[in-house]
Amino acid sequence: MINHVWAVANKDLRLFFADKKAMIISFLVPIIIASFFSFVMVGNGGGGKQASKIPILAVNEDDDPLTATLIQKLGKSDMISVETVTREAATTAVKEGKSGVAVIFPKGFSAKAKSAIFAGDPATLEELYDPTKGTDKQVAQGALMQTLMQEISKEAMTGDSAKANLERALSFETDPVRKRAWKGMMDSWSSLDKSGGMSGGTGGGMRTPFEIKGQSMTAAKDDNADVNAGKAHVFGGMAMQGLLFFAINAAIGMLRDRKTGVWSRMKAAPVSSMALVLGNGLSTAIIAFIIFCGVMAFGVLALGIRVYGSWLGLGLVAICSSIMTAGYGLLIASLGKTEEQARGYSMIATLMMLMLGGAWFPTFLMPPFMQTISKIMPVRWSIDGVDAMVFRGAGLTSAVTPMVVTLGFAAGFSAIAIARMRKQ
Amino acid sequence: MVLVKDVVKSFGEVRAVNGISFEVAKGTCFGLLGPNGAGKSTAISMIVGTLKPDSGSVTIAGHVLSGDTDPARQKIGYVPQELALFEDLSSLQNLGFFGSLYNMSKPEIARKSAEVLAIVGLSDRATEPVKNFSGGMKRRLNIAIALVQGPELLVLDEPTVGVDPQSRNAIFDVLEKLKAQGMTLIYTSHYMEEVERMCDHILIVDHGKAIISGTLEQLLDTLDSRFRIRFEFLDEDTAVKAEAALNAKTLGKVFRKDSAVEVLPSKNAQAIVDSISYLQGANVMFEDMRVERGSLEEVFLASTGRSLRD
Repeated sequence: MINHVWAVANKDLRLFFADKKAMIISFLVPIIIASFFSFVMVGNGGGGKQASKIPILAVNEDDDPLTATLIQKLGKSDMISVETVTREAATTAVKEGKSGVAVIFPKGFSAKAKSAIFAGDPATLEELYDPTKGTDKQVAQGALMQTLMQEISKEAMTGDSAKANLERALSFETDPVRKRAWKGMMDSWSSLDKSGGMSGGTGGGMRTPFEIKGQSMTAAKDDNADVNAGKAHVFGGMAMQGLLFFAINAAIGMLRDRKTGVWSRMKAAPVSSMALVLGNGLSTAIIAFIIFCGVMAFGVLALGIRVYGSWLGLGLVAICSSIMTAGYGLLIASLGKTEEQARGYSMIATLMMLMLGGAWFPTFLMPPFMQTISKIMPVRWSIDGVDAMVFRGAGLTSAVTPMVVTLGFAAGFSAIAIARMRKQ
Repeated sequence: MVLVKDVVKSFGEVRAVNGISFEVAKGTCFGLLGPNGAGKSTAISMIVGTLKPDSGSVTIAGHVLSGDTDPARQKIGYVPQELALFEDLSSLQNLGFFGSLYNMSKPEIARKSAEVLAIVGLSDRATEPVKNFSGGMKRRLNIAIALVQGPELLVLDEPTVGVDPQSRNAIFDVLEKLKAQGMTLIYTSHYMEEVERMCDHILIVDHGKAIISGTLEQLLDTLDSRFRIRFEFLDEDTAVKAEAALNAKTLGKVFRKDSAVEVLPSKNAQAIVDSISYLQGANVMFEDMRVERGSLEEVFLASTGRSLRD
């Protein structure tokens, strides 16, 4: 039986390597998509520090010099870049999707904002945004809050304007006790300002009273850790995509063998059906493993992905994922009656598995119920295993769970496939 | 060599083979003739062991096939109706793969491959990918693959479908060579000319049932006449009148198809003169008239009342 299994597998391997174009496409498609997503999602070096700034438009309708200063300071933010335009130009650009966010500083904005620090209604800043660019909107709001708070509070709390603002606030107060307290504060403030205390070490104004020191929880401790993790995840996901798409092709090949009489001819020989099925499964697993290695090797050699965890663990996860691919291929072949039918529904199932399994984007970005569903996707476990071995720096023991689960899926798929084939 | 006894096979509600029995003597060619859907391929599948009969039995050289790995399968070479080969591989690689399924050693495969490629005239294309072959060459390789393990029985399921006349003759040459070497052949076709040329014994099947069987001579003897008269008329209306006129007399069996009428006369050459006379009497003019030798087509027509090519 082993000879027959190997004969079938060997024939499939010869066929795979004989069709050069199809073989190259099997490697090239996941590599191209993974490379594309790597550049788009994580850039090519330096992680977040090198990440491109989000461009926003600013409209200055205010004649207060502070507003011009605010716009200038905004442009120096790490997160955004600013271009000053007219209201019409900003409206058109956002409406046409050419810009994600535009901020309009209306007339009297700075004056109202300065006095509103102590009392009265807040000033209004108009924001135009493209609903498809929610991230741009959030980043722009963060930068605005930080920069405007610091600059406006500095202006409001120093020099003559500080005194005027405090006196204005005092005029709103009617309670004698609180009025005395405000007066005392005003005197202290004035003394502090005259001594230069309000424009001390940080240039004055209210600033964020804390800073966030981020630490990427990957095995890498260098600045490139985030990029390596991002690329590793993308390449792991796309390698799985390559495997599952190959499983579809392998299944279509089996169905074609049935249609062309090859299956009948093989069945006429003194060979057990199980040997024929196992031979197909073995060749699918071997080719899937080669594709997986090819895609990841490109990531390592061409894009500098580093494997911080166990190489052996990564290899075993790849083998188990390849066996799962073989089981999936057999399942498709057993469920499809025609090539077209099999290609149609397997494509839908595969895309769902890839999407919900986190091949296209990490599962933590999904709503909670989808994260739960993702656990029944074999792709999720394969990718978790790859992530653990490549950028989380995990050891061989962390590969055990993904391996066991993917092998479980392989066994399940194969059992259903064999039961279906026997019935047929 | 082969004994098929009362085999029945159904697919759901459809009874594809309904109690067919026949025997094939060693070294002879047995023809299964019938229209498309008659049950020929199903019968063949049961003989080569890819389908199990619902009832009845198939015995190959005194052995009832049991299970997928029965060594008796070694004795059967099977040529499916489709081109069951791998176009991206060479002839040698195809032969090597199928040979390995028959537990042949590598040297044995190499020796037999060279031998069978010589038989089918493809020795000079042994290492070339099959996708570069013509349709006829692929058909010949399809036969060669069935010969690689050295079978005693070669089962061919419509091996000339879609083949040009020149390639068809080349295939017949191969089969005649094999037959001369003492190989037993089972040949299915819906082309009566092929069966007439190749087969020593013929079984006509229709709707899954055996209709009639015997040698070509025996089958032709079942006809009322060894010849048929074919009249061509200007149009269908005239043919209808002619059919009525000829049917009114007891000439034999009369069939009309479009603007042609065929008469299978009783064993009486006088029928030729009589039929012309009857048409003249009915004032029906024909455009053309031919007298043709009787064939399996007439046997099938006479047995089932319909044409083999319907």
